[in-house]
Amino acid sequence: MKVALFVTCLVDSLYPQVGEAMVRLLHQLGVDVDFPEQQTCCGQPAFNSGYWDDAREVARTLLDAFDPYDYVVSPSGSCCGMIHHYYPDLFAGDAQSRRRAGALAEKTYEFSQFLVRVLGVSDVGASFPARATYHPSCHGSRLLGVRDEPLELLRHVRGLELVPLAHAADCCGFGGTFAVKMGELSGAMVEDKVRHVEETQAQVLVGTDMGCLMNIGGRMAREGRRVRVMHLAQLLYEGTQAQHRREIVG
Amino acid sequence: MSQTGIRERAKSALQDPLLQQAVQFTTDRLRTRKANVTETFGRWQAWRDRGRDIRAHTIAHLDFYLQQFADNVRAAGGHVHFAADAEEAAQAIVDIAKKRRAKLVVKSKSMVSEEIHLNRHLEDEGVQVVETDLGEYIIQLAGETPSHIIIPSIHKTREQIRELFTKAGGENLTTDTKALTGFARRTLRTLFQSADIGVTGCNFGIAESGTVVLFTNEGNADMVANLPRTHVVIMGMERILPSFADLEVFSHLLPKSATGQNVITYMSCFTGPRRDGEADGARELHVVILDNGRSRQLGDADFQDILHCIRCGACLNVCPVYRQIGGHAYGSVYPGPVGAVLTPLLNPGPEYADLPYASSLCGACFEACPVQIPLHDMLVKLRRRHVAQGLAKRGERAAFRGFRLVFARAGRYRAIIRSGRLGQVLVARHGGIDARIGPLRGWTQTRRAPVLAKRSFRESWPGLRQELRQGNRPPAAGTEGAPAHETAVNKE
Amino acid sequence: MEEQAFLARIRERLGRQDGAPVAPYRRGAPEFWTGRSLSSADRVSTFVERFAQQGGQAWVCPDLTDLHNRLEGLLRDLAPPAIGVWGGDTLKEFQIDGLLARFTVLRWGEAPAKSFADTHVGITGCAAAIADTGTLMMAADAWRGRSVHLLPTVHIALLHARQIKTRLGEALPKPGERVPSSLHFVSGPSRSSDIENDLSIGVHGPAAVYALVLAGRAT
Repeated sequence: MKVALFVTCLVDSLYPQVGEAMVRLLHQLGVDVDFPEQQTCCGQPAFNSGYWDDAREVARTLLDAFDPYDYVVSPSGSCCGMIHHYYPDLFAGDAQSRRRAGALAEKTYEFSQFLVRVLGVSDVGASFPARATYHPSCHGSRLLGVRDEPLELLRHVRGLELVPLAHAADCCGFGGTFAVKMGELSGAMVEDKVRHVEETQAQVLVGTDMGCLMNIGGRMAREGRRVRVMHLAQLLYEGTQAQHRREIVG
Repeated sequence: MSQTGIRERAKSALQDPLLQQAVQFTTDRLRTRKANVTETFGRWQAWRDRGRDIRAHTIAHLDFYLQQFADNVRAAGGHVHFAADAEEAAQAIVDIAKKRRAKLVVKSKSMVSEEIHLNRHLEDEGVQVVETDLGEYIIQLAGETPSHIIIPSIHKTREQIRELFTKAGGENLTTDTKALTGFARRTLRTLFQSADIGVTGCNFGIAESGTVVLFTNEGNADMVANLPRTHVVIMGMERILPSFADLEVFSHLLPKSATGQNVITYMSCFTGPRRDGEADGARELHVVILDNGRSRQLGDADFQDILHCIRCGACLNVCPVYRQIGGHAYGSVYPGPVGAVLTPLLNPGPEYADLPYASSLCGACFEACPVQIPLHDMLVKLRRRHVAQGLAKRGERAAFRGFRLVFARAGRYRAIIRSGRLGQVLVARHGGIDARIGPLRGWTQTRRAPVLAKRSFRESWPGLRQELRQGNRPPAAGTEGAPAHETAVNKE
Repeated sequence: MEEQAFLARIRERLGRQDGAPVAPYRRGAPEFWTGRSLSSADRVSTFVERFAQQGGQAWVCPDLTDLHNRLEGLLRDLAPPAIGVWGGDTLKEFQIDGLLARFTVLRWGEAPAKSFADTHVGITGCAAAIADTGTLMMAADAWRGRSVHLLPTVHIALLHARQIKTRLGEALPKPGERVPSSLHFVSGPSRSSDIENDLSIGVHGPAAVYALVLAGRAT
């Protein structure tokens, strides 16, 4: 099985530790991923802003990069959602690219989806004694249909107390360029989200999309909140390391 | 008509905590009730599928069903008027009012009547117009327009309502809901009986029988339709259902989606005016069918589905943007996600072109829609149209050309990340960016922006790959280059 | 705008030919819904329960005597200055004339329609009732005025258990059937939540709705 990592531009440039945690965790699970370097970005910023021609040229980097692989796995439900939900429209005018985009969508999985649905793993053997809450990303859950997989993985983490987040399904206000273009509005939305996170008294906020987490975390940092913001892959990987260390010590 | 953009209107709405509180309280309640009622009812997705199928079929054959509907309205003794635009529709109703020498028109809630600015047209002719839905009555007294499809007065507090009613009636009222509704009942009852014309909207027109169907909870539409001599129905041309059998589906979808009610209190079906021997009901029934930009959506694969909308308002109640800014910020008759799509479609041109940007594209609207209109996709497609028409700002166009230039080639992309790291040294502090300047201002007003990692993933990849290949024990995930809000947080 | 031009524009946009046939489609409620049926006993009990959920009150009366007692009790409590009643023989089988003799009664078709604005109680039958939703279906004609149940503060409906259908679709007009000028589906009292989402009852229509369901045969 040839598996490629679609790291996404956000993780690549801002949060490489998320990509790394994912690669290491998959390695532990016996999956060696490759990183084809032609990839850049799914094109979503341009696509969502209406610049489809620009988006298409960027999106092609993915068609080319992932051609030789059986599976593509990514730490972002939003970027996978883009491939699944919007590439057919984006490449509608070009039958060959449309076909390639369809093939790409078929083999592309969000990280938790890949673990649960493809690998059939819901317990990675992690231990993470903390109180945590989970924010489902809109695109991951609504465009891609990833709803239960992250929760299933989290439920199997030893010592993790998972508390429900009020209004969890409400958008955090990120929305890509929306957060800049409609800054005040987006700011009001993230304020609500942060308040709900606060109310859970969680020590850790977990998510599956760094866009949302950058937004929520950025707001909490500005307010000086002491909640650790983690991608699911980070939590799981760190959890296995802790487990590992304990096993060695014990 | 709005003079400012959505951004400015949203900004001022955000500074109105009373408005936000009222909107959030009510939408929370409505969505919770909807979630409960659909859960109890069961198989909601199957109902949504059926609803979408029926709407899609109807709209795809709208010429046929509209003709059938019109023929059957006439066969039942009603009159049908076709109006190409708002002017024609308003004129048709003004003509009826003139012919009937009407002095007083009572109305039940109708979004289409707002769309054609009917009240203004009638008032210009010296006709008094009174809204009779409690919420509409409140905002009419306040001199405002509705801010929610189902609950037009969603933004008003009971204290504000008490003031309005006290002023209108010269009675000193308390803020007790009973006292306030009691006042409205007494006042409006006398008006129903003296009105010359009753104007209603139309939730559904049944083609097979020429029946006009109205859904209300208060019963005011029944007063409006039955008590005055003349009943005028104003309907968007897409409001058709083929048969009564189809109405059964929407008798579930509409109230459950709109307010989380299992069933609407009153579903009223009017087939023609009163008949020989009947002693009540309107003697004369007119149905005004409005196009006003709707037919332009037909045959457009991207937007035809917007005509499936049944105006339940469910998309408003779940919209994280609507819940922050309420309905007026949308600047037109139709608020919320459906408004952000419908308004620019019905009114092409620059005036409402910015509405589709008032969305984070979270898709909650689509998920809530009882007929599964892909509103989130339409918002993107409207932005695309906006750009294609050359209406986007030049700076933005240049920015995305730049994006393409950099991101369409991995080599350039790699180089630019490196140079970006150098550039941000000037603004970054505490491992993050707080500076409220430049293009990121919208972000940094409320949030810390992250900085580029010291080494991008692709830069550290060769090392990582080698390490894993050699089977070295993997160290803990690197936090090197982690952005501010991660390194600064509590690590237990 | 001229009708045919209006329709032609739609046809043209849809790319349809004038007189082109309509494609078949899946009509009406899903099959899992239309295939359901409740027993007659369940229909009655479900109706009573859902009617109450809608804010109304329904009683099952085993016979006419019981129905009369219920009605008499209601009217005694309400002490209405004037009662509006359907006209002609429409309520004959419920034999309530004797009981109403003590009250000021306006009969539809006899008293002027406008006078019903001053009734406090309206007594009617119904065309059908729906168990699923606790709904009364009112069909208008010369003896069954719309105002009788719409204008008073209290609406009392008399019906037979056999008039209760499981679902709405069974009561709706079938294709080709003559449809009454007004079909009014009533599910509980008039309500509004327009003031801070606080439910208030009786804002325009009746504030109380009662249904007396006669279970036995009319004698």
